[in-house]
Amino acid sequence: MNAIRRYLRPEQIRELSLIVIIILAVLFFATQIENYLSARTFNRISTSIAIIAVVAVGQTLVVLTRNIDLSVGSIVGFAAYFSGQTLAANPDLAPVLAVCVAIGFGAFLGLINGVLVAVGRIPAIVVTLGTLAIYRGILVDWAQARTITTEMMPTWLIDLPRVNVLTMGEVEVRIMVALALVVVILFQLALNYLPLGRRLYAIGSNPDAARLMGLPIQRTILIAYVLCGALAGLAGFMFLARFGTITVTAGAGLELAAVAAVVVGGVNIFGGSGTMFGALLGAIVIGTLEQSLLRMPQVSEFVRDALLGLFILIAVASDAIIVKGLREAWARSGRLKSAKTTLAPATAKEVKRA
Amino acid sequence: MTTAAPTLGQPTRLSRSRGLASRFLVFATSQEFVLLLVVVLLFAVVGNTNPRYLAERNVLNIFNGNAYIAVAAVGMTMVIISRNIDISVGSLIGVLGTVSGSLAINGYPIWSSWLVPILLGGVVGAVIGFMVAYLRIPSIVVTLGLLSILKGGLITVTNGAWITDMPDTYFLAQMRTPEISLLGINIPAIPSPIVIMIVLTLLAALWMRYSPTGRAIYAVGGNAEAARLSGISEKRIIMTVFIINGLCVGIAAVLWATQLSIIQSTVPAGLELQVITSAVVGGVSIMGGVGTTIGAMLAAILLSAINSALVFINVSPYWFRAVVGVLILITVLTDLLRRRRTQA
Repeated sequence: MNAIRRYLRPEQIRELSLIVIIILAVLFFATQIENYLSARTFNRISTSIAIIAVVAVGQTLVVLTRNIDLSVGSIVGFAAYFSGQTLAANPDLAPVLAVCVAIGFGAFLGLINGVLVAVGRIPAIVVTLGTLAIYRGILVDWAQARTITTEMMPTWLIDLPRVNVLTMGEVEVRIMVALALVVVILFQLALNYLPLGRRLYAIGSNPDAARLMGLPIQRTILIAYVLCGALAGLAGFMFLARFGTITVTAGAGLELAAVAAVVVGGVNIFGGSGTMFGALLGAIVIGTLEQSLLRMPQVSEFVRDALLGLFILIAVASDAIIVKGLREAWARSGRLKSAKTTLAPATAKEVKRA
Repeated sequence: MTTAAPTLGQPTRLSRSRGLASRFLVFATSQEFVLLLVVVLLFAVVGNTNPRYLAERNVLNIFNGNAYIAVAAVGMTMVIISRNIDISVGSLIGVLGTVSGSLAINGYPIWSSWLVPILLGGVVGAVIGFMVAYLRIPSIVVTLGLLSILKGGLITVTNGAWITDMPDTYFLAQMRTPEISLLGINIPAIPSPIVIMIVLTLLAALWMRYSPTGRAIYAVGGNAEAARLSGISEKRIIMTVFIINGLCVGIAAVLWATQLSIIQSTVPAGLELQVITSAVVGGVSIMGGVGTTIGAMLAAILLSAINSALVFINVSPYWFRAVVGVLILITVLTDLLRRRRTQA
């Protein structure tokens, strides 16, 4: 037990427990769904997880600064529809440009959120709950219930989801999964090593101290929202490539999956702590559940939403209890062992007195 | 920092010690007074360009149609003042309204179809409160999850079918008070939603202003640490706030369900935003500790009046969202200015 305490922090145990949950969930679904443990299932579920993961990375950036973006689902849908419409109108558009259109459009919507939150000083939850409805409303109005179908798309886009980066027997790592992994790793590195990444933590954990240090708070929050929008735009493009058929309701409810992934992955909703790998683990948990429930014939789309919500509540509640218990256990054992650390402040006081 | 900017419900000690003129200034710049002025101004200007706006039927509609939002905003005001949030109100109103209608058409007594949703709302509020206060889960996560459960669960159970053919005595929101003649003054019949809205808002405002528990809500939201040190149980207060919020949502759901002869058993889209917007425009600070239910009610009325006015001056209802956005912006900016002034 002491050996465990020495090598692992409570947060790491929590990440391990997430992996255990994923394994248990997979075992459970394997008993419920025929042919669940197959390469085919892995290939399909992993692509959906990739979309959630990319959105969750953007959400993490915003949540780290003590804000939230509830409009990501609408941004994903709008960006998917917009880039699909652009491709339908200009079928010869270079693939790179098509991706840029989606990312740029998402970044633009994120910029609107960011300006209202950072410059307008309106509470993030009010802004993004509003833009969640407004973006969707504009999309519905503009699209006039027209659906983008696979026939309107160029062939390279239809083939894109089936492109593999790595094949091991029947298990394939598809290009979108690889893309999501690259995004997670890049942003994790940026959080650890770029000044911008460190600023996100500083602003989230103590805004007053960050202000006194002279950190550009408004600009950093603005950038976090723009990046979150850009990543949602990228996810929108992945959505378009994966499904081909885009209706005006595309991406609805993704904000729940993204926020859930972030929270389950251990990112503090009050800002200041969390990692991209945690968010990725959260996305895997949420995505596995969502996609597996989707494959159970007796579970309808709406039951799935309800079960997902229920799971999130249970996960967060049990997590709160378990991590609290672990922290207390660690603190207790820490008090017994490290007399040094408890001595340190006392000596500092004595020095002052002298 | 003092927890309160000078608003009607919470005059600071600072303002009390000053002279009459400065106390009037505090009153005149309070969110509640400004909102009242804006509502009156709106009625005057729009009524001037199109007199039909001031017709009795339209004015009653403005107050009546959105009364359930104001009722829900009473609970939301307390939740936000305690520095929490509830984004599941819209779906909870949808679920409880459906429960109410289902009870009425399945032969249960009418009073039970009014009472059960309210009590059920209280129970749901207690569950949210328990998770927020005792399990320490952020309220936004709890209510986001709950929103998904309620929304998905409702459509699964009802398949979105409409509920119709409620008995005639069911329609609480269509009832009116009797006409009263008092000392030669005739008080016209007032629709029950307006009565419920005003009574509930005033009761809540007085309770929050004068009762120890009500004051404690401001204390917890304004400075949780100071509240704890002065012996207030934060857990108990948050629990209370969410239970009251649930009861208010229950009442709002009954008003919503009984105002039309059809209940669409789905979740009304964007309703939570309307409730939160009412509270925020009403001067309830999302940072906690500041605001009154009176402001929230006036804001709900203002939003309803604007929505109706757009029709009468031939402006596309699409502009409603833009107007609401500008209103929120102005409110938050003035809130910031007020905070700066009280701190200086």
